Amino acid sequence: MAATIEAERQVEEATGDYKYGFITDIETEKAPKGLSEDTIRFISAKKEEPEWLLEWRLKAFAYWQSLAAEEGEPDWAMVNYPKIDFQDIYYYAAPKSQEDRPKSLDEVDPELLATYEKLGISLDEQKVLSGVAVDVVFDSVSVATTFRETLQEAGVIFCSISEAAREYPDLMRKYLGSVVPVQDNFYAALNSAVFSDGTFVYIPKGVRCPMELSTYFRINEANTGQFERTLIIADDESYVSYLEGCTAPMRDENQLHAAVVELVIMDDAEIKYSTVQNWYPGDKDGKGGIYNFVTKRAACRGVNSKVSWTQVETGSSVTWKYPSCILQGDNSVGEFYSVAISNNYQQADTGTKMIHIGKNTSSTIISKGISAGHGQNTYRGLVKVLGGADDARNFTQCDSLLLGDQCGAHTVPYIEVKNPTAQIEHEATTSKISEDQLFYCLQRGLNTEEAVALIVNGFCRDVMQHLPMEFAVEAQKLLGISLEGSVG
Amino acid sequence: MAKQIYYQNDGYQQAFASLADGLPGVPELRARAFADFMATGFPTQKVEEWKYSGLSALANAVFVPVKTTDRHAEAESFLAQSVPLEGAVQLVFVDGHFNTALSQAGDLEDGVTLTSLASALAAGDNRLEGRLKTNEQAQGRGLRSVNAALMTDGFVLEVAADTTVSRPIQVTYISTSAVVGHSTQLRNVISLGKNSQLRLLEQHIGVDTGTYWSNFVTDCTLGEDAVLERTVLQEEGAKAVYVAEGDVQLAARASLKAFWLTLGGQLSRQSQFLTFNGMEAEVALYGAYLGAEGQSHDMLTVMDHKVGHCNSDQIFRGVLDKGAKAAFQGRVIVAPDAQLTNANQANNNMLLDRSAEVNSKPELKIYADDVKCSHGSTVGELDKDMLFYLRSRGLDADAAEQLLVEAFIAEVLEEGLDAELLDFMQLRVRSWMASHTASPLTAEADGKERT
Repeated sequence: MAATIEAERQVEEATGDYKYGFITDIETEKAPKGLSEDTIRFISAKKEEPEWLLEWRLKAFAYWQSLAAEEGEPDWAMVNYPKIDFQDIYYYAAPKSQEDRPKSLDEVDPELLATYEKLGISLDEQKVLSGVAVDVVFDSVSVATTFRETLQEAGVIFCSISEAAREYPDLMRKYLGSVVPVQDNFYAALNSAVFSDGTFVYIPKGVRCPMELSTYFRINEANTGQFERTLIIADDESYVSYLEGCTAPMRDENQLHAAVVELVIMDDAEIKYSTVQNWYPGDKDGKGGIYNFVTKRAACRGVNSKVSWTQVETGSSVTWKYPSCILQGDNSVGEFYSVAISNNYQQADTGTKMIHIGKNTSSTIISKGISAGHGQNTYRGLVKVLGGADDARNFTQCDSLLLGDQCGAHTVPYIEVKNPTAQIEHEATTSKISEDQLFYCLQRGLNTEEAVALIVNGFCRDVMQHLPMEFAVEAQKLLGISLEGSVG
Repeated sequence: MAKQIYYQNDGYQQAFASLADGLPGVPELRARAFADFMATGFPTQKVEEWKYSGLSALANAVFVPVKTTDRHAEAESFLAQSVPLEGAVQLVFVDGHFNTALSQAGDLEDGVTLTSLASALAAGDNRLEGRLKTNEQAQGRGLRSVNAALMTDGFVLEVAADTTVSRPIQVTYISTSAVVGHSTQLRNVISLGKNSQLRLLEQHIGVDTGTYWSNFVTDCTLGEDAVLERTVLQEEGAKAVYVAEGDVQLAARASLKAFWLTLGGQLSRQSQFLTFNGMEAEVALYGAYLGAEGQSHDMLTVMDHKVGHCNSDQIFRGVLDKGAKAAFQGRVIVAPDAQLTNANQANNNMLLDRSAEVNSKPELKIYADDVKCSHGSTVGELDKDMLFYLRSRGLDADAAEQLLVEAFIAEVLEEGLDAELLDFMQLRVRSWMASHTASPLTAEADGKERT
């Protein structure tokens, strides 16, 4: 409960246009600007990585270069932004205190701690009160990890990905890139080449992870691309709930973020992955903001495996993100619950892919898109049933809400079916807030903004109820904050 | 940087050079359109709108129209298949050329002009040239340019303001040529004046023995309050590649009701681009497609709501049996300020066999807030409970399946057709099913029952 109160306090406290827009002044150690083999060698050396990982990175880089030369950046998404100069980006930045890795909070740079305080993460408070272990990523490097011991007792491995590369090379070599291969797409290749850090989780057989795992990402340093890499493996009959949330300081220049998340789920295992994404969306005129090009994919490899993606996307100026499920094991289940808001000049092209391969596989897609201001919101989803996926089942519902007459809501569903026993249903609606609902709320004494927030929250309820408690409250407030200034 | 997303075939260069002299009128337009076609070529599956049907079949050989045809007797035998439509004005095209002998022009009201495109072009109709759009004038729209370069004929139909064409116009396109590499390139131009009305029925028939390519472009302009009812029955030959494209421009309060029944061809592609230019216009599109034995049916509709207060409805239903493939791509665009738009799309598909495949992409692009737009898409097999019910009443597996499929298709037939055409189209569906479906699903069910 403390975390909930904390989240409420933090949201209520926040005023101004972007509630989390502040910059921490810490000297960072940067790789030279630009992208070359040297940059990659620098990153790899900094991370003290084994040789095979460096080679893997270089292979990815070679592929990325060939893609960049032949086809350039992907342009099929319904988003517009100035061309990215990949040589004008810093690919690595680490807080200086990294040199001597802190063993406890006392050793952490007080300025860093103050940042977390402002973010409302408050490590020790969470440590004591909430029981949530937090692996904080501050500018690409994990600074402090809590509750390692408790997790270790259960046999759960929860560490940064660079640590995993050193300490669990067998697991890493087996699973890294097995769900999102290096050649998957332009940004996945880029990430594979330059990923700075991220989270590694392994839940052993039969273990139900004793606590919800959570990572807060935060982009600092101007012009630093963030290339997170997350790998979660749930072995047979295990369960884990993973929370990912992010805020970023206010910036004028666009920042590139290209993360890769890979989930592997074995027999009877389940992963619940929740995201609240609230990076800097740019100002009222669409200036600045984060480019968020993410590849997220889950492989349900075992029978009866289950994965559930829940996302609340309120930030970023451009979002390009399709958390997907490969339903390979028989009876496996994929779920996707999404709320995406685009206000001012934000653009979101997001959705999911459900690939049904195994028998009796089922998937559910609930997508709620909200457009306001000049925002453009696109749902792009694929439901694919292969020939062997007998009795596959899919239900898709995409609803769009338009606030204002300058915004856009788009739906691009792909349905590809090669098995007659499949049952596929897709439905989508687009509408604005009903005058009657608004009138009713106003007549009860709410002002327009409160009324809209209330109605929007109702519209998103089907998704919000899938969020873990800690996130749900914050996310509801975020919806309201994100839509501020869009009505009136 | 350039992506190789089109098939090129230089063989057309030579073919065009040897043909050009014999083609009617507009040489500059043809040359320009041909250059455009040579520059772009045939779309591959990397072009989003052609994602589900690449035209590799067309790229490997050169398909050219014949300059003249004398296959009168063959054509006549095909005419027996045509729809018996009471009192209709009959136009018959054989292998890409208007056939006077088989057509029955008959009397039409004052204010109705109906001519063949070849004679209109030969007569040097200057107004016409501006209306023969190529790819350049209609962006990304596939095979318009090659059609403009090679078109041999077609019809030009103009209805003056306040004229109701009392007799339906029936057009039958027959492909008799079994010569490999034959193509039919026809272009139709229809314009309805203010407050005019027209009923149009088109039927495509062809030989089963050879691979030929039919490429049709039919552009319509509907004036204010004009009403067009259009029905297209596609029964091309079993190995035919059928590509048809249409551009419809609607003025205020104009109304279009169109129905496509797609049964024939190896690969068929139907693209319709509709643009609302005036308020309170209405479009209702209906389609039914049945596929078996390696057939591939591809439907594309682009509904462009440029202005508000318009309605569009689309219902497309498909039944796919052994080895058949179908795609429905529907795009609804609602422009900024096109308030109070109502747009609905429904695509329902039934798969009868494990080897059948269906792809559905009902797309919405909405830039206005006070609108009601919806789309629905379903894919499934025959309801086992319904089958069981019918079997329990004594129907055998085939009959039960046929009845259910018929009922599934009948719903869209009844919506989209008037009583006069409904019976005939239902017969065509029934006969198609009798000759094409032999579902292993029901065979399987039979087998299970006996053991």
